[in-house]
Amino acid sequence: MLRLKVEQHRRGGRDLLKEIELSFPAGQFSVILGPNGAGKTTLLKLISGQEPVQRGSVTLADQPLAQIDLLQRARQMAMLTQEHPLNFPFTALDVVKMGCHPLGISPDEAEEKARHLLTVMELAELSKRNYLTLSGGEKQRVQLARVLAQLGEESQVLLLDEPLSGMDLRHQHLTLAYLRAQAKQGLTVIAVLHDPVLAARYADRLVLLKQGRLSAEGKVAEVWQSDTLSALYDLPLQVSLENGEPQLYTADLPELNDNLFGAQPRQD
Amino acid sequence: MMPAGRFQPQTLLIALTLIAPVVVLLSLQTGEISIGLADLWPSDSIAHQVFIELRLPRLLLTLLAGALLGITGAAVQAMFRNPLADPSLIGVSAGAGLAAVATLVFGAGLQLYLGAFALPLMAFLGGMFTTWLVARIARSVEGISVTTMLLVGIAINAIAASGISGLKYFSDAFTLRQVVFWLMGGLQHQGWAEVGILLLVILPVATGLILQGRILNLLLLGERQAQLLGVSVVRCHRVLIVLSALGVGVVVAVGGMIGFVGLVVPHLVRLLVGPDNRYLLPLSAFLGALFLTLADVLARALIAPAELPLGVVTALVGGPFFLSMILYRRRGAD
Repeated sequence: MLRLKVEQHRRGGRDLLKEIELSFPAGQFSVILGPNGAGKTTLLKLISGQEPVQRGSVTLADQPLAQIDLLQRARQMAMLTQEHPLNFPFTALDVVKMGCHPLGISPDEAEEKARHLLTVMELAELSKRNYLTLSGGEKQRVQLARVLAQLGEESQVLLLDEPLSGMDLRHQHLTLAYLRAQAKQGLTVIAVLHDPVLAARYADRLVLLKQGRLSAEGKVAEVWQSDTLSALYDLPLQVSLENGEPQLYTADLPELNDNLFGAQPRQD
Repeated sequence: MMPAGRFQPQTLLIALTLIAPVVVLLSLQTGEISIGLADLWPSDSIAHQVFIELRLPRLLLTLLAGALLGITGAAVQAMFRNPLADPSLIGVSAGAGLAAVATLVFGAGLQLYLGAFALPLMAFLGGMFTTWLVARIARSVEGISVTTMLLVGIAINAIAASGISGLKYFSDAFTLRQVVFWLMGGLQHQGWAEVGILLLVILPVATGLILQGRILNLLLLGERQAQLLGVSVVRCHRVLIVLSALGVGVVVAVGGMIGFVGLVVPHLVRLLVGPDNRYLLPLSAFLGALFLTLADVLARALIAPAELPLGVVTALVGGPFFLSMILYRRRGAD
């Protein structure tokens, strides 16, 4: 069980997160949704220990995160970040193999694991390709495979910050199905996504963040309400969930039309 | 497209091992008198003296200094996560140089106590301070910015240059001569004592850096990414700063400003065998040793019987190479 309590977390004189209390049980796939700047990435940074919580706490299996040393933390928790600043011409296979580092397994085992994950991500043909020459979506899949390679016997938590960015539709579904399967096997999976329909379709639970505060959270069926989601995104939405199939319709945006067409033509 | 490495590391190792004897013989043979194997005995012959007192230490100095510059270049590039980082470009050599000149001008007492170690020690401290400073200023929340790193390098190079000018102004005739002499760089006036110092330094620096090879690969993923894989980035940077500054500082103290070796050599190795630091670091040391020795042969041969400063030769090769790297990157070719 992963527990997070944030009374207040500030940067630059602004509350990034405030009054949030969440617990993430093992075996659950949670998706964090919210508009830009809602504090989603900050939340993952606090959970992963990249930033210490200013007022509050994070505990993993009742142990404060700050007391777990970095290597042990890496064995228990893996995270896909939003940016991938790698700027050197490693092969895709080499990049994925690096994910095995905290596990301390043999080079042969690492190679086998990396090849398996490249196959899962449908990248087997690209394994010897220079990472820098891959497309954005392919790079994202390689990095995801690298983070999945970090999962081992001690793993408890998998965090993903916009794992689908740049991916085509097929691989978005493939990724989410794989993440859901990982959760079914007992892992706590938490992902930040931008597509509420995909989130509702694959997640067990939705966590809605707005302006640094918890706006709603619960099982998909509880949260998947038109007014809840409309309020979250400041956008008139109609949602339904028939036979577990989430649907979402957006109405016209009168104020957007006014802004666009009522505005003065730009003079540049 | 730049390939991720066309050859196996072993292939490059074998190739370098085959080239090495040629470079070594070339270095031992270049000079005013030609020395054959038969000339070395009896041991009081002039040829023997030239060999033992001049040619052999010079060869060892270029090999050791080149190895240090090659491997520290590769390490600094891993630390700044950029192939354009070089100790001479980002101001580390200049910082070491300023500290060395200050020691020559004001450090008579220090030189009395520490003898031949005074200059290397101060250059090491100067280099360490500048590396720390560059890393400190260039670091933001998102890691180290390349633009800031190079700009800080320009600033430090300028500050060090004016500092050295100022020190010259304050030094007496004898010290001034010493400073000017030292600033021209080169390894032609050094002997066995300096060989000893470089040997003493290369062992911990090369071992320490090569042992970090796997961790340096993780660092290339990004600082946050490395930390999430269980790497203590702060500790790793500390080790890199100390070892690189030690390597660069001591080479600067012994041989003056020898630029671009740390840029050109790791880049070539990366082109040939890929960016894996477990191979890049030792092979950069090996190629660096041969590269600097060859540059020193050129320095002696190009305008013989006079000599070019070694730093001039490496800059003549490295400068255009650096420009071509920037052009290549601008075309988005990598």
